[in-house]
Amino acid sequence: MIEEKYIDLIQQEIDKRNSAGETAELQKLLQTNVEVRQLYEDLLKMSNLMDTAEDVEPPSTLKSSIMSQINFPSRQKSRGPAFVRQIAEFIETRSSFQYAYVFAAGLIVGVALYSLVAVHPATSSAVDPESVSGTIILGTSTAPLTVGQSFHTKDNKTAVSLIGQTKFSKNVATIDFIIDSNRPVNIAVNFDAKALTFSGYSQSQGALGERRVADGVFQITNQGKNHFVLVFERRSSDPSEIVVKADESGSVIFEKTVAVGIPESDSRNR
Amino acid sequence: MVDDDQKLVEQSILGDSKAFDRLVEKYQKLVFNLAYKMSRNYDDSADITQAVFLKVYEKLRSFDPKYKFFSWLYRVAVNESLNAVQKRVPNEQFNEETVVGQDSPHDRVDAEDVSQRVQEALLELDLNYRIVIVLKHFQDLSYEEISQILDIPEKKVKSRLFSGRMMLRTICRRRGIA
Repeated sequence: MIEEKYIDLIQQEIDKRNSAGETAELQKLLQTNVEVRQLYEDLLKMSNLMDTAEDVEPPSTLKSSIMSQINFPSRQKSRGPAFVRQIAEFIETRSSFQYAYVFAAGLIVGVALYSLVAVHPATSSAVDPESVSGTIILGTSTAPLTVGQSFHTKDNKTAVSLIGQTKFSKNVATIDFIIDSNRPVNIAVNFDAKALTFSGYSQSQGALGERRVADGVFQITNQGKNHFVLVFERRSSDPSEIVVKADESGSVIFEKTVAVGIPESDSRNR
Repeated sequence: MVDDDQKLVEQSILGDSKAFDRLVEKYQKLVFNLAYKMSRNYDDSADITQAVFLKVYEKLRSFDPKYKFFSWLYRVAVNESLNAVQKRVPNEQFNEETVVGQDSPHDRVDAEDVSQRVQEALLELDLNYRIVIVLKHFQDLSYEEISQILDIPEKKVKSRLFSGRMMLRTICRRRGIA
């Protein structure tokens, strides 16, 4: 039975990891211990045989076969200013921090939108989606947002109303809505986190309580007439849905499902 | 080299097919040979390599740039190879128990193909030992790199390497290899 210490010495010698002192110690041992020497010689010979094995050439068509199976997205050229391009590319390529960067970018967008809305507060029930156009800079697309589904609902009992519209481009989706309630109501905007990544929001006035975003839902408490714009990064070009739900002390006031990624003309037919 | 990889990864994420083409070009032989040494089957190795790169592309956005791309690629390649080899009709694999007492030399081999025969003998090894030997000898990775790729402690790498070598020695003796 060979001691573990000597086994380590043998293995490390074969793998060229022994210090000069350890090599000397092993050499000394090899001269006196036949069993150790036999094991060392066998393993060394076998290792040398494997180390000299030549690589095999893969099929010449392998690379083209791989590449042909990948559906690369068309690379869009940004027409925006260089700094916008750099920000967008930076966000897109830092995958591990992507959500954090997108969120931060969203907040910046939110501040910009807030300033717009604050100057021109929503005074009527009509949403002006154009206030959002041209301010979304996520992704590589600078294409104008396509108008999606418009929606309007009102609960006669509580007089809480919701009016709004979705917009989208290849990479970005927004939901723009006004909530009007004469008392505090909880608003939850549920979205499919597999399809949409929350990027930021803006609101026309202060809302009550904390805003929370987690697991596909944006939550806020509303009182009065407030205008909200939520911005998402689209993770796929497939249509998805957003559900705006209002409740008061757990009692549902209304629940409105709206489509994202479907043009206005198509969404009317839904 | 690592920085180059990172740049190619970033460009690939942005949809630059040429960048990903370069990554495939750079690493296809390495992945293919890892698969080949594990399976000794040329067609299977091509399939495994293909699956590895498709998976890598699919997961590219989740790649954490604080790690080396090639370590990540290796991990995917190792997993794909192990899965593929496990799915095949199992050869009789050797582990520490079955190896004992099977020294019966036969089938003399010519000197020039000894190396090939040793590699074939590898197929008799349990996958846990085979992969460590393949990564050490054929991919020339350090204990530390193997430890990271297989997600096992370095000490375990050493012990599996030694056990694997011992088993392989026994198999080679039984097969009459050198």
